[in-house]
Amino acid sequence: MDGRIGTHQTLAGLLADKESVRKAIELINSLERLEAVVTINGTTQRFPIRYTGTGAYIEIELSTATASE
Amino acid sequence: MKFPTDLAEYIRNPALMQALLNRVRALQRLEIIWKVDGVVTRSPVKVAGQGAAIPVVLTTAAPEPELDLHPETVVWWDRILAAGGSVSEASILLADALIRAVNAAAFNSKVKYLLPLLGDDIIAARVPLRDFIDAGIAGNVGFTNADFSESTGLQGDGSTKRLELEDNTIADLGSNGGLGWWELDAPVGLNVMLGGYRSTTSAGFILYTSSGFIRFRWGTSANGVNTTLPMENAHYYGQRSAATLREIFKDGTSLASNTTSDAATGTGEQMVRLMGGQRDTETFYWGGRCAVAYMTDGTLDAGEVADLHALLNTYLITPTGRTPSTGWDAETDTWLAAISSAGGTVSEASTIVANRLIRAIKGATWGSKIKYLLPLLGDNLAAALQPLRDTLGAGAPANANFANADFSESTGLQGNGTNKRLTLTGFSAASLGTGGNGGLGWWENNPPAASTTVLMGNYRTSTTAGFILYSSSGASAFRWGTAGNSANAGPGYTANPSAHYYGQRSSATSRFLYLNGSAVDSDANSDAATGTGERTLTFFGAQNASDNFFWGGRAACIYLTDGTLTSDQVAELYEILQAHLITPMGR
Repeated sequence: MDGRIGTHQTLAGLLADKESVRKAIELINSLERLEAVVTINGTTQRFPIRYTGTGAYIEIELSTATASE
Repeated sequence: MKFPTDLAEYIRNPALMQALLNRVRALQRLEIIWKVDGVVTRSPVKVAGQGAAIPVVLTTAAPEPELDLHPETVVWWDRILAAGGSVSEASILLADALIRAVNAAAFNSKVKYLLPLLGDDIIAARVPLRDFIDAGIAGNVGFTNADFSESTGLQGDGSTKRLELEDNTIADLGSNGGLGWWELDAPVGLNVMLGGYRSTTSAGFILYTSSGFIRFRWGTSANGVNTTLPMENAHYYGQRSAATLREIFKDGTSLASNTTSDAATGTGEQMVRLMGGQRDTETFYWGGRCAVAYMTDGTLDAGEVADLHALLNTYLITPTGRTPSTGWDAETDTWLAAISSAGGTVSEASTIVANRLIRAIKGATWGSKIKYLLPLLGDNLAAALQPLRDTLGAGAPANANFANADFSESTGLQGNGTNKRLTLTGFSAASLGTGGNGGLGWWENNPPAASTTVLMGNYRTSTTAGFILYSSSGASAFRWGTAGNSANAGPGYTANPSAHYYGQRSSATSRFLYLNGSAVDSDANSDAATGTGERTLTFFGAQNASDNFFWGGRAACIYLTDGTLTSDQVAELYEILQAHLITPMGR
């Protein structure tokens, strides 16, 4: 997404800047598909965002165990 | 859901606006939940000004270093775990350093069995660090965790506890053999540290003590070799390196040898024991404290014996902090001083008995409840009358008519039932516990015929109420207050038994009589125990308003308590007196 979202202190200003509103909503839409991309020792794993009723989280499960014995 | 980008949609549909705001609100609370090896860490987003960040702190724990253990250590550790024992990493490393040092020594292959007594419990302590003779984990007879700690070693009791190895393992040492033992609390008298006897003769393969020496035998009894001095807290080692050489070492130095030819017949026919021995039907239990025991093939030269001593000291005795017992307990010291001051004498052997007795009592959770204790030890009456415990500050009882002839350490103090008594002048039942409580203990081993008389205690000045252990026509009884509120060993009990009597009043409604540690009767009538401060506390009798009583029995031990022992504690006290006084003195 290009361009900054304008800052508006009043509702009238916001309503007049339809481009900023569009960008803000596109940003929110993009964040719906947010994911953490974790690369360890050259191996990449992707962990998507999850929304709950009131919050959001990305759960990353890792193991430090290495093959031994 | 995907939100429309046209603002007009939101103006037309307030619910859509609400959903959009909810989405923004949710993103305000975004967090990363890390699950690393099952450990959950939460990293929330931090919104500040026009920026936002999710700070994440992850630490990579240093990997547990793999213990690079000697194979013998690994086997030892596995055996401990398989047996259900426990051992700390520090002890494992200590054992590992020890066995590596042994492996690096010139005599390595000559050490066939090594019991370092390491670990957290009696199970671990019984597992040999080296076991080339397949002696196995030493079987346990009587030891508990309380008998063992890494910093002190393994404490025997001289009467019931020992370790048992697989039978006939002496033969596995080779044609020769050696027995090693590091003692920290040397007992006295005839006893066996380790080894095995032949099954039906006194010939054997043992390291043992007798009065005045420590001896190593590898074959017939006559060909043993011994020191000229009594056993001390030291490292002893005996070995047979040839038919014509048996030698005994102390702290790595040779003390004596025997060169009579002995074929060492019967190395393959014994029951092998540690902390004791077994000869046919004769049983030995070691009363000392062991720091390490081991067996060799018997072929160490003098330099190697010295090196082995230094090695054990460096890698086991010193790092575990195992130090020999030194000096006497403070109460034993006080007792010895009182004996000396009274013109009495006591042998070292009896002092050891007294010392163990007072330490055993001291080691009990209820030990402070014993207020006064006459163990009746010493070479003469002056010694026998000195209390080993005297928190009353009463000192020795005043003697009425007892003579030296009435006393023997191996039996006790004999009363006559007519004119011999002991009195704690200035002390009464009120001197013992609080709130009118108190306890009277007496170990009788030569009771008189059934009669009505008193063993110990005191009466009120003008009534038959009293605070006494007594015998009513032979029936043992305990009174602490009015005569009607006694606890009595009634029908079914032997009149005047040879037994350990103990009576106590622990509250106005609790008076118990115990025989040999078990309650035989109680009385729960409320009794204020009025008059505990009257008359003098007497042993071998008492005096009431109209009668003088004398006990004609023989005391093996007399004591006073504060009256608050539980039933279990009474039983434990009985066991301690039996194990640490009656049995060792042969009473």
